[in-house]
Amino acid sequence: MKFTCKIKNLDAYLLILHNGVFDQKSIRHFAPPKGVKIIPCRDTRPCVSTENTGNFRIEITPNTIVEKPLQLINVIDTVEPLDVVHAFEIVVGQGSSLSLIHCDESMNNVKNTIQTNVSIELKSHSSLQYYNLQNINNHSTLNNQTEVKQHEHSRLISHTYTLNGKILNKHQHIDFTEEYANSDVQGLYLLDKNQDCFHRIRLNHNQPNGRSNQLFKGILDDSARAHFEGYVFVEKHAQKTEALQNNKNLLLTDKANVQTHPFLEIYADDVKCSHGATIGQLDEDALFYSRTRGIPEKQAKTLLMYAFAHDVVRNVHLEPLREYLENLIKRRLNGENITCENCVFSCVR
Amino acid sequence: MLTIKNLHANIGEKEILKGLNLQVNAGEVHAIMGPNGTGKSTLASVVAGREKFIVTQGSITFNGKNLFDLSVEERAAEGIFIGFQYPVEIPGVSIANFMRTAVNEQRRYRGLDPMPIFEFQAMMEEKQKIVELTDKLAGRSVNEGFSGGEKKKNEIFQMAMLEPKLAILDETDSGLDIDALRIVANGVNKLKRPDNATVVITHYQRLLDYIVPDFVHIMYDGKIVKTGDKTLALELEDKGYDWIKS
Ligand SMILES: Nc1ncnc2c1ncn2[C@@H]1O[C@H](COP(=O)(O)OP(=O)(O)OP(=O)(O)O)[C@@H](O)[C@H]1O
Ligand SMILES: [Mg+2]
Repeated sequence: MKFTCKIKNLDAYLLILHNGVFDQKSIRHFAPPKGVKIIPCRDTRPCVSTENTGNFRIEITPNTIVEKPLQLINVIDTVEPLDVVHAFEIVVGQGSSLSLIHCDESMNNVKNTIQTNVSIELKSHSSLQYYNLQNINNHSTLNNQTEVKQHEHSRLISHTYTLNGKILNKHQHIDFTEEYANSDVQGLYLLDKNQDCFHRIRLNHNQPNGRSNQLFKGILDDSARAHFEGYVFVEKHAQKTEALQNNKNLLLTDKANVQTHPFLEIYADDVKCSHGATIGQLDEDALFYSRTRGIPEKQAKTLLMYAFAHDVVRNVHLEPLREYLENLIKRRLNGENITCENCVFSCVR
Repeated sequence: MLTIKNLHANIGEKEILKGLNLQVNAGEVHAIMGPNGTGKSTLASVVAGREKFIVTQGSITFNGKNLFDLSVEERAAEGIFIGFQYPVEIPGVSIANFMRTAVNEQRRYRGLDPMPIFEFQAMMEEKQKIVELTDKLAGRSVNEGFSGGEKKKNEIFQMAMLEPKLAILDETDSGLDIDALRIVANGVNKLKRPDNATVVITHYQRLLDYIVPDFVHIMYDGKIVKTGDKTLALELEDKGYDWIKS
């Protein structure tokens, strides 16, 4: 079986999982760049000394700047409606940096439950850009669990995009275990019909001088539902913490439903924390203004929605990926049903 | 070109336009002056097609077409442009993208193909010059974080891009410093052609030194109560509105 899943103009190291299982052939063809180790694990035996069991572990040795991004694709094509589970670990060594694109991609049309467990450790002075997307059919459920441990002066940029699938649960748990950790955690969900999406973000400022910024935005059409829970904990001695959180939602119909729950627990006194949550409709004045310039109502709405969504996408550092996402979002907002039938990754079997 | 007859319009229960008449022909420049709250901006909004104003009586025709049969965007594509007193900020939409969509949608309405990108860019550059809008501004989101004066310049820039037949400029001069006023007025004058027309709504006779009107109308309490030539503006400056009210 051969897959050539590609994001246009993106020059990436490609790693393929097949129904959640690490594709041994793919690893044989994979020539990891210097400083990148892919360590497969047998069966479900613990991969490393951590509690997390994983199919494999990606390890970046210290002081390695991985120039090209790594793209991990989990291709799902079970004939039966099965549970597909995969887990992996990433350890970015001291002073190293990596960009990782992680996609779950279904090529069948059956009701799968896809479980993804990702465990990330960022050693001191390391950085990771982690982009999580999926292109799964609209019957399937995705449970996505990400746990991050950040050491001193480490930097995380995390993006999660939700454009299709039936039920999407995305849980992220980030611990600042040392000082000066820095995180941008962002997400975008564009939902319609009866899609259901649940984000639970938990960010623990356990140590001083940390900075975190959460930005999650969603557009809901038809009778889609979204639930956002954002926890921010600031420990007593985690002084000089800066923690921002924002969840903004656009509802296009009366039947769409959003619940947003920010939880801030702050025990330190010298901190800068803020949170905001909005649920609203498209700006009537902006819509009218656009129409007086000759832009028909439908296009004007798309333009405004795109601008709303782009607030997240513009922060994607990998240009080919950003362009790809921009295009995807445009198509999605124009009402195109993006499923594996018109496979957006242009996967060729 | 534009014929308004006995126009009455409400917002909620409140009547704001109370039997307004106006005739604008191709090649003409009209000025509308009048005290605050008289309904000048309401008139512009009704011509644009804002749904929250309900027309209860009267008619508006534009080049033979009944405006009430046309949607907001169709009116724009027919050649009506409104320069707003309070231009709206649209975060995340670049001026270039906004204008490109507008230009191409208007072209589509007229049965033309989209403008080739290079042609569009050349046009952007050329029109930016007319109002001395810098590249820096043009690269930003529509009106976002613009100063009052920059917003007004941006309105004239958009007008230049869209080449309307009829432009209604609602207090485009207010909030402008003396240089910006000259720039905006020059912009309007440069865009003047025998086959288009301009209506400027203003409080200041000063603007009319730059944009010389063929007609000056005084609006009061939802109606045009007096029409004259440019000397009417001077007379008004001299005597104030009490002269009209009495
Ligand atoms: N959305 C609205 N709801 C209620 N009243 C409104 C609304 N919009 C306008 N009005 C009222 O309509 C009247 C006319 O307003 P309009 O803005 O047309 O006046 P104007 O002549 O443009 O005034 P100005 O010179 O101050 O710009 C005012 O009394 C105003 O308060
Ligand atoms: Mg006004």
